[in-house]
Amino acid sequence: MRQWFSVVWAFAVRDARIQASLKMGLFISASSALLALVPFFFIANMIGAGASSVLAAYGGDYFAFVLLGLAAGRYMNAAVAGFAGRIRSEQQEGTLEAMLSSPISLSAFLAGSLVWELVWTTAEVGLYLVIGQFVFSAHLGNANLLSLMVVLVLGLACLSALGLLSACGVLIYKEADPIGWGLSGIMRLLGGVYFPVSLLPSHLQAAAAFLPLTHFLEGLRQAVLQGRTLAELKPTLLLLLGLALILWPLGGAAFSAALRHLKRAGTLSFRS
Amino acid sequence: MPHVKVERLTKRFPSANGSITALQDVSVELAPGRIWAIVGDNGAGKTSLLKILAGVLRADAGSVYLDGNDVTRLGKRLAMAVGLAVSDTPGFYERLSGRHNLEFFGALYGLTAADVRASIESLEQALALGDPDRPYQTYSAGLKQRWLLARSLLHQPALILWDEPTRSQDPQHAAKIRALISNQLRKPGSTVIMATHHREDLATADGIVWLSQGKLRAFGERQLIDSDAAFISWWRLSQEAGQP
Repeated sequence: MRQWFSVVWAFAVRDARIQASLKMGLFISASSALLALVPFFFIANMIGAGASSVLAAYGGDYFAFVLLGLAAGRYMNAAVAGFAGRIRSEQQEGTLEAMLSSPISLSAFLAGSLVWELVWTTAEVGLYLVIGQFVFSAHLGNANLLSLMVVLVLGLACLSALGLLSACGVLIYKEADPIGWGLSGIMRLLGGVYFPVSLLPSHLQAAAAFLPLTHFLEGLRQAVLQGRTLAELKPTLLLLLGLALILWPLGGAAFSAALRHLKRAGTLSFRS
Repeated sequence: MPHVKVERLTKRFPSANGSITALQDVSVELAPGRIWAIVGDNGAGKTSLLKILAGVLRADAGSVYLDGNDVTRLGKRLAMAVGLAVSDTPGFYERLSGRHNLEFFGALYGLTAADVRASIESLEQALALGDPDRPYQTYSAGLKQRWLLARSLLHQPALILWDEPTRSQDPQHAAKIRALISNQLRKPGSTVIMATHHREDLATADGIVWLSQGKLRAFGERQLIDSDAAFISWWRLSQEAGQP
């Protein structure tokens, strides 16, 4: 177990060093967060109190509502597209083959590949929330931090599992991420990033209920905007846990099968 | 002391016209504690054979045994036993220094940063690794190749699989690599199998595996193969074609 954590830590150190070599990374993240929030601040002002009845379950403020939607969208990008993109880059650079010829376990490889992406995204999301609260006066003061942490862990477990499926597509098709593109697009549209799922037609609401992002966002908003306790969030948390328990074995098995396919096809390393 | 036995190995890759046969029915038995050179034209199956031995490529048919164990069943034990360096895909992080790259890959084998530092120091004389703290992307092609060889030796593997170890090297550095093979890697506890196009590399080998279009032409003691008329003729022709 100690060796497992050492390996995951080595991945995190590697990625932190690469991140540190990208001098503009922090500046770009900060300015992107600011630029992403500005249009929604004005849209929220334009909507004003008009949306308060639709958003009553979330405190009535559209800007705070969409701020958390954007935060969850960042996590989705990191876990799904970010992870798949990283794996593709490793395949092209030959580092995937080098890693998989070493004695590391698949679980250490997957956890290691994800850990920095999620840590960095958490820093970015923190920046979104700080800018949202202190620059644009979003009301986030009611947050229940324990509930937030649990929702984050379970939500990221679900999204990361989708990232594994997405990475399988990248590894096998050796081109842009078809699975991640489809999953992210559908979740962004139906998952409640920009507007409440309750506004969707009933058949799309039913479809949205199968998406991890829907429940992740619901839990996130209830924990941060309404300060819900773990007991109050129990149904959402159980749903997220159930989805994680289904998706992780599925994603892990698919990823293992993809690696076996690459070993047969001789494309563990592949220059496009 | 790894004893490598290859039985009726076949590997095909899909292509636009069906499939390309990289290896066909290849069987060899490589005695341990020796230096083996795999030679053959481009596309003869040298790299495929090395990758199958290392477990990063699956054969379509046939088996490879390491000390009597099927390599596809060895898992982590195979990874710890093998040091693979394939030049066409070096697999280093361009933005990290050579040292940080090796610290990362070393950690995958359970090595600490101090272990890696000690390895770099011990290999510095043999491989002339230059400044380990410069970003890898600033290294010359020859230096990148030497870091690749260094990485494959980090965990002190018993079976060393090198694909064109002297690729991109000037004569001085190529001689250093050959000296490393002859003086440090030729020992009872380790077996070296290297694919090569270079006559001077061949001179360091104890035995030769000669592949042609995926088929085994000959294998055995270097002196025997090297004095074979067909081998001499092939080597001369491939030199004239500019391959070795």
